[in-house]
This record gives sequence, structure tokens and C-alpha cells, in this order.
Amino acid sequence: MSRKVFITGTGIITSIGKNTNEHLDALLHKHSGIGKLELFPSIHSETIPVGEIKLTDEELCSIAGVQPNSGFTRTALIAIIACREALASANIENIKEARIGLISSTTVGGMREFENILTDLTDLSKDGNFRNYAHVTDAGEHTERVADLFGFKDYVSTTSTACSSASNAIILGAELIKHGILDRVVCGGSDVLSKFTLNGFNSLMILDKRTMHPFDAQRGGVNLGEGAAFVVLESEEMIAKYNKKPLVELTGYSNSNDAFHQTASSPDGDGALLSMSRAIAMAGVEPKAVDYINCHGTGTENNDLSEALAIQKLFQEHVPFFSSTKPYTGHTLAAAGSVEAVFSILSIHNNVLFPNLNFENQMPEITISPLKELMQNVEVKHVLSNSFGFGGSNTSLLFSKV
Amino acid sequence: MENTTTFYVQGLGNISPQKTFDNNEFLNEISEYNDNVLPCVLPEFKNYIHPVALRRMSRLLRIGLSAAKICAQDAQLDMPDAIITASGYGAIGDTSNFLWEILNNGEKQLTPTFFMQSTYNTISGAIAMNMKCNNYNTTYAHRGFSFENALQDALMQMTDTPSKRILLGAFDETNKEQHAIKQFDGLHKRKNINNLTLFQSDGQGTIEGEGAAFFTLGSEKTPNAYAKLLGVKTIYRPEDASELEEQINILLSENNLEASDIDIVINGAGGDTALDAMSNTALNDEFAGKQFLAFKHLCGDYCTAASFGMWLGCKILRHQAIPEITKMNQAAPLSSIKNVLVLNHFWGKRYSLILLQQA
Repeated sequence: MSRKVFITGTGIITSIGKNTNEHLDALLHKHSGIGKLELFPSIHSETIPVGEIKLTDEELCSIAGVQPNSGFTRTALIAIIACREALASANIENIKEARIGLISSTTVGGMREFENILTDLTDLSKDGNFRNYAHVTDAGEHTERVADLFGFKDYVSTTSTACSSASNAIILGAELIKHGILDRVVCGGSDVLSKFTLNGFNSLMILDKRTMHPFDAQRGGVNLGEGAAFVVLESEEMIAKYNKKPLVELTGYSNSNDAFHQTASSPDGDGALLSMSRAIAMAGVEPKAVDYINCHGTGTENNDLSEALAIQKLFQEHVPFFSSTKPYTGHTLAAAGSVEAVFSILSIHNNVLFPNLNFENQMPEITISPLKELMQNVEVKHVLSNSFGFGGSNTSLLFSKV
Repeated sequence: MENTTTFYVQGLGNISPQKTFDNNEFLNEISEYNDNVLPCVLPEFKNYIHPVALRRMSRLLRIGLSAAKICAQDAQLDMPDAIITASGYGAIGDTSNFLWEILNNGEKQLTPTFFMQSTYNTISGAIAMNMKCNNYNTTYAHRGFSFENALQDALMQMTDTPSKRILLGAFDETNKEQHAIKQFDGLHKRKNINNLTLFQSDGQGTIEGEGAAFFTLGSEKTPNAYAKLLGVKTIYRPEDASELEEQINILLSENNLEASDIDIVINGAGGDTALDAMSNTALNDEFAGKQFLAFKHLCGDYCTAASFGMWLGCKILRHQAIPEITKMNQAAPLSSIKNVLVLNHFWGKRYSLILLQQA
């Protein structure tokens, strides 16, 4: 394998912004999107804070340029918005000019809509506009909505490996380019808040009732968020042919499995250690070359200890700056890998490292601590981004300055 | 993608609405169903999964993990270099269970296990845990392309590292809610039929099936090897049959084959005349006079049903025999069966090709 894979465009929407620039601004100003759940009724809305995109479905339809109630789920709508930005940012006007793929990801797809209409849907005597949302539970549905709107045809795929999904979408995209199957691939993910996920994570008792405190001794779990993000991967030939200036190169990636527990990380971070070390090795650099790690950092008792131990073990005396940016956006689940890929790219491109909000107390089990303050005007050459998920899934991506 | 390495199907594990879990048999007994929903014929799970672990597992997880274990045993695979799974709807049973609890209990008194086991990668994670496998592990969940995306991923990995042995599988389960929704839309039949009469029925809608089919893939021709896997292709929303034919020809020429080299065509028709039309036309144009087989009257239709089609192709190549129950026509008898093409479609919009050859 000799081909390189470059990233030429980004698109993103979360609780802290509707595009990449708004995200950079929010990150630089330590603006968190975590707050009260307002856009759907839940018994948890007063007690469990979330990172909610403060736009109604109608407003999202208007931004996405589609008709309300016509079958576009919130997951599809934000994916459309992020995909459109990603294509524009990569200066791709004619989608047919090269072999292009779309690989998205989601954990629950259109569950937000489905949970409201399930009873009616299964009643064969009932008909109405709600039937536009009949086939939205599967993960691939939103991908096809995006594909059909923009005209993706050469390759469509959807990954679903819980909270590492979008990172695995990026890996598949990179492989399809390296094997000469595609020239360009738009990769990412989309997930929105739903009763299903809110109650699911709540039933596991891993939701912080405050704004989350990753890597803090007093951490109390995660805040859920919603968002979609896509990055545009392109081959060397595309870069040369269209005389493009890539944002970064995707130099390494690795996927490994903890093989420990369905929903918990192994206590010593075996899977995390493997995925990080293999991603770095693939890039052909030493671990000490990594300038910054955008951690999975969910703020749960289990993840943060496991991830920090793996970082300590891998980097030893050369532990790079690290932080979790989830206190800004909340955990956007399947989309987290692409949301944080965009942040990693912003970091490299703007010579800036984003701090880990809400860190106060050192974890006693470890000797390292996350970055507390924004760092600007620092040379950032290599950024490692971690995304871990249920099923023991561990994926690391390494982005490098071009 | 041109392959310089040859890839073999080294093991099978298939749990389906037919008794397919025993690799020593090949559709010796046929199960019939009369309510348009075809459930799996189940093996004794405790032969494959520890009883303590078994108790906590959902039905789909039991089926999926058992199929994976049968496959790994068949190929004498102890440690896969990658575990890749595929599912259109994932753990839809646990997802439905958790959702109904939320709706019926007003977001109170929920069962965390339903949620924990609701992710699409629950089975790939469980296989990793069971086999203590820290290697590459992913799950594709794109409707009628899930299985094909997984095969593509495996082919790329084995191209880069021919020593890799990959455990790959697809699974989907029947679901009462989804069946009702699809009946309303006409995708599934409302009037009950006998599954074996699927292609003689009214030509409107299909029947719901399920299954978990696993494959061990590797570049070594093991004594047990069933078939060579030459290639896979997905075609999204083709305009017409000629586009499908063009893609068939591309796949064949990538493997230095012509249409005349194909001995058997396995057609993933679902019994809906309108939805089957494009692939039927393409296959008739390309492969007139060849032996055509079908399989969805045996396993029903579901997102990853192409995996049953690939299983059927592998078994035919290994046994050099064609079960009568799968034949759609009576072509001239074959002295040997060398090349098999599987063409599947899902809801008439997602088409896929899988090309197999005698090992």
C-alpha cells in the first residue's frame, strides 16, 4: 500500500455550531453546548443535561433545503447539513467528476421519530404523513437520504460500532481509496438525541447530572449530545489533478477490540493501547511525535481510567497534551469520531490545542492530567483521536500536518 | 479491484429457517412455513456457548454467536485476524423491547440489558470476547449492502495481508413491528402463503426471513475449503437492467471470465414481480439457458439474505450438487460446477454481485 489519503474538507453541526467556523469559535472561547433538554418531552429533561442543537426539525429542514414532514429524520437533516458543508469546503461542485463514496454511521438512525409513531405504524388501519417515517429505524436509512439528495452513487455504506462508528467509517473510506476503488469518500456520522438513547444510558447509570468532568477524580459520567460531521477523503491523484491544498493527511488508523465486556472497557485499557499504538506505527512515527490526543474521554468512571492508563503505558515519559472535547458538545455517539476528527483537523490547522473543560481534581490512580487551558500558537504536527464504544470497540485515527 | 491473491471460503456456519447449521448436511430436510414469517431452525446453543453466558443472551445473540462458532470450528480457526459482521437492522428485538418499555412504562423501570445488547456490533463484540480476540472488529449496517460492504472490507484486508484469516458474518432477525410496517407498504405479503410457493404466488410483496451466516475467509486453500471468493460488487439504484449487465460484465472481466463461463446463477429474487424485474431481466439477458437458482423461498427476505445465497453457492461448489428445491429452471446437466454468480437485490434499489469459483 503506497497511496496516501488526504482530508480536504469538513462539515459539522452540533450543539456548539452549525458549521466548522462556528465550532472553532466556540472551542476557542470555551463555549459549551451542554444545557437543558428542550426539544422533546422527557421525564429527565429537568435533571439530565444534554448537548442539544437548538434548532427545531422545521428549522433544520429549512437549512437543509427539504420539505418538512416529508420523511427526513432529524438524523438525516443534520447529516445533510454537515455533508453539504463538507463538499463545499472541499470545493466539490460536481459530484460526478470522480468516483465518490458516502460512508456514514449512526447508532440509532431515525429512532427519534420512530419512538413517537411506533404504535401508529404497527396499526395497519392507520395511515397518514407519519408513514413517511416508516423505514427509519435501520442505520442505513439516513445515509441513503444524504446519498440521494447529493447524488452519491458509486459507493454507499454505513458503519455501526456504537461510539466508534464514524471513526470506522473513516477507516473504510481510506481503505477504499488506497485500493483504488474510489477517488473520494465523504465519511462521518450522525446521531440525534432520543428517548431511546437518553433512557438507555440513564439505565446504565453513566449520565452525569452536571456538565461532565472527564479525567477528573470526581467525574460522574457522560452528557449525551447530538451532531453530525463529515470529512472528505481524497487520493493523491485527486489532489494533484485538482491542484488542491489538503487540510491534513490521514497517516494512521487502527481498530482493535477489548474482548472484555459488552459495555465496559478493560480496566487496564488493553484495546485502547493496541488501537493507539497500531495507528501510530502505521504512520511510521514514534509515539513521542504525537503532539496531542483528542481522547474518547466520556467522563465515566470506567472509560477515563482505562484510557488514561493506556496513554500512560504507551507514551511513558512522553505523554502528549490530551483532552476530551466532549464537555463542549456532549457525546454525539456514532458521530463522535467524525466530530472529533474535525476538531483534530482544526487543531492542526490553527496551531491550537483545546482544553478539557471542567477538570479540577487529579485522578489518584494516574500521574497524568488533561490540558486545562487553551494553547495557541503551538506547532501541532500529529494529532491522535480516540473513539471507543460498546462491544469493546476501540478505534484510533492519526491526523498529520501536510 | 483486481486481485492477485486468491481468497478461499475456509469454513461455514449458517443458522437459517432451514436446517443449515450442520455442515455435514446440505438441505436434506426442508422446513415449510405458512405465516409469511420464517424463523430459524435452531441448533442446541449449549453446544457452542457456555450455559452461564447463554442465560443473559438475546435470541439473536445466541444465533449469531453460535453461527460464528460453528464457522470457526469448521475452519479450525482459533484466532481471527479480523471479525467483521453485517446487519441491516442489528439487534432489532432488544431495540424493540427497550423501546416498548420506554413507551409503556413512561421512561421508568427499564431493563438495561435490552439497551446494552441493542447495538449493531453486539455480536461482533461477543465473538471477540468469546474468542479473546483483540484484532480488528467492525460492523456494517447498510440495509441490503451490509454483508457486501463487510466482504469488501475483508477482501481489501486480505489483499494487503494475505496471511490474514477473517471471520465474517451477517445476521438479521424477524421482527413483529417491522413486519407489520412492511405489510402496510406492500413490501411483505399480507395474505399468508406457504414459503415454498413464493414464486408461484401473486407476485406482490415478499415473505420475511432471518438468519445468521458466517464465513471464514483466508488465502490458503485449506483441505476443507468450499470455494474461492473472486469478488463482490454493490450497485446502488441502477437506472435499468443494462446498467446491471454492465456491472456484471465488469466483475466478470476483472476475473478474466465471460458470461458463458458462469455455470450457475443464484438469483436473490424475493417473489415480488415488480421489484424482481430488473435483476431478472439482466440475468436473462446475460445468462440465457444457464441453471438459475433461487433461495428466498427457503430463508425469506431480509437485509443480509445475500449471505444465504453465498452459503448456497459455497455448498454447491463443495458438494458439486444442486438441491432440486433451489432450481428455477431445468437447464442442461452440468458435468462440473466451476463458476457461480450470486445476484441479490433488496427492495429493488440495492443490487449486489458475489462471484464464487470452485476451490
